Amino acid sequence: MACFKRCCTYYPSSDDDEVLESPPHSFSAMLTRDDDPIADNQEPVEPQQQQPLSWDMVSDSQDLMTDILSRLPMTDVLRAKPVSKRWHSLISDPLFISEFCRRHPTSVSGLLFFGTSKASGLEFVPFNSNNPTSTPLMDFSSVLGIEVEHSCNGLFLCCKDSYYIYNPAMNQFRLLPPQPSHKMAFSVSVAFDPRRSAHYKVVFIIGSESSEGDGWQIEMYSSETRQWRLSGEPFTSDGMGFGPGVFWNGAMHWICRPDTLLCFDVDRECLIETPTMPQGSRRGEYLYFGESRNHLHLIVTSSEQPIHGDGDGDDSQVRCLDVFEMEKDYSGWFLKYRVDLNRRHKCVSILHLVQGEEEEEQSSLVMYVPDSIYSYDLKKQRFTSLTVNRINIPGRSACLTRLNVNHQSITSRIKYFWYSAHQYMETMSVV
Amino acid sequence: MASSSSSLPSPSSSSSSSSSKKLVLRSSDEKHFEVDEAVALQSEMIKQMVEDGFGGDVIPLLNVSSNILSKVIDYCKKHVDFDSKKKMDDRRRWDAEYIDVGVDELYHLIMAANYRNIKGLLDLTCQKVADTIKGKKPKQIRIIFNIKNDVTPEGEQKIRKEHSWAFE
Repeated sequence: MACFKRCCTYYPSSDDDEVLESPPHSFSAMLTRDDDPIADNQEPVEPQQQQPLSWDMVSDSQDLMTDILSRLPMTDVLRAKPVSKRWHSLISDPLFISEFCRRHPTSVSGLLFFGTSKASGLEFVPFNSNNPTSTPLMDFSSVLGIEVEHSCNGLFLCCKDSYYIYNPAMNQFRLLPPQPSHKMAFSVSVAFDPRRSAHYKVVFIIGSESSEGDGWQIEMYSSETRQWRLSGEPFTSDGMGFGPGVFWNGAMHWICRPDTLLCFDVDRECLIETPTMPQGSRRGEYLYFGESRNHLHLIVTSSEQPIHGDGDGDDSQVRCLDVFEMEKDYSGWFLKYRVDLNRRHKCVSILHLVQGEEEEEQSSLVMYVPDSIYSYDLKKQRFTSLTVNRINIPGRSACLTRLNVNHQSITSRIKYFWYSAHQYMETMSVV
Repeated sequence: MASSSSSLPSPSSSSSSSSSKKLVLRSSDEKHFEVDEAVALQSEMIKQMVEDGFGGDVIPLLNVSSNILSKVIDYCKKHVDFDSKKKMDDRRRWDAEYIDVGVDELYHLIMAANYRNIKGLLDLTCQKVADTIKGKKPKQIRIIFNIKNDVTPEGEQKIRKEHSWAFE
């Protein structure tokens, strides 16, 4: 019972040391507990109506219902939950959820930015500004106050004394048990790809005792087993520190300054050898590192910086950049685009590269330019300003406010970088 | 096979003069339908029966009535034609017209397609049901599909609250 409550708690409290761990709980399993709104103990179910054409036979077939309901958009599926107990349990069933996730390849609906303090709220930049209406972000406002450490395909790894996994679309939290090692984590990330599996993994990099000097080890939590364990062999790294993890191709990737790429396959639980990093004009200066539609991108300041007339030497401005993409087999980085922003806009930081749905079509860069956030179409070489929706807090009555893109409060307060932009998408996945 | 021809409803009479092998299907109300083997084999279940050497002249389909079976055969025949022509637009238009049926008939078609394992028809009927559900409130869904509401008002309220964004 308490487990279920915890799943829906908005401000998870850390003083409650109850742990949600083994035996494994799925959301549907939790729902059979006694605070279940529609558990069987509420009222006796009457004998089936003798209507000749009740659709019960269809409802009773899990295959048929899965086939039917997984064709619907997520909002319709959630809205159909209260139709009957049968429908509720079907829609909450992990088998249904994995089929649904398989059929609905996640698409990023926008970028989410978290303010550094509770007062600053969060901001959402929808990619399709025609349709920003119904997002679960309203609910997200109530969890501010806990830090979002990392996110991956719609799941958020949050921290407030303890670590949580949060799925805003399903409005579910899960408190992760403490790591058995009790060691400080130097990097925390969540690995989740609904196209591969309905399960996620939480990947921590901790210090390793067994090797001399700077030794590291991966400690990993699996939502399938609901357990932590040390994963792979201890390793050393030539680089310093670990940048934020980027999950791509079934592996987590970190850039370690100045120019080491660390790559850990979360299924095979081993490090993967990676090619040499491409070099920008200044060694170790990476403007962006991220994944989009199963492509891994790295952006550096171009080493062939064109010379522009005035030469005022403003270093904070990005002018010419090289976009590299990693080959799927890790054979190397290839130069995909060389972009000359031509000073039309003072791009300060690259927030995201959105890979076009079709090969090379409509790929665009999302960049922070003083006063607003722009999308730059890499093919048409055109800038479009993006709408910023601010989600006000505090309180549950939070509402989306569409800000004028020139609004002063944005310009003065924010300077975003790629690692502060969380790709947002809705996923049915049970945490 | 010949002995059953007296009760054959229309679907069998339209069969072409081709020399292809015929199968006879019997509906739950004892009507017989003679169809080209290629048409019957759209059903994975019948295909399996034939492959397993189910040698009888008549294949009994115990829980499919003649009017539904006739409609199902229409589908299978048309799709054997379509498969040879590959005109996607025609197929889509024909499918849309075909599936424009009431909820009761839809129910029988989906059950028949499911039981006989006719992939294309199952796909079409499931999509139709999904389209019918789309945008509807739980109450409307219950009425359309005659589903008994066994969720308490408090239970429904709780679900709505959990996923409030979807209910806006």
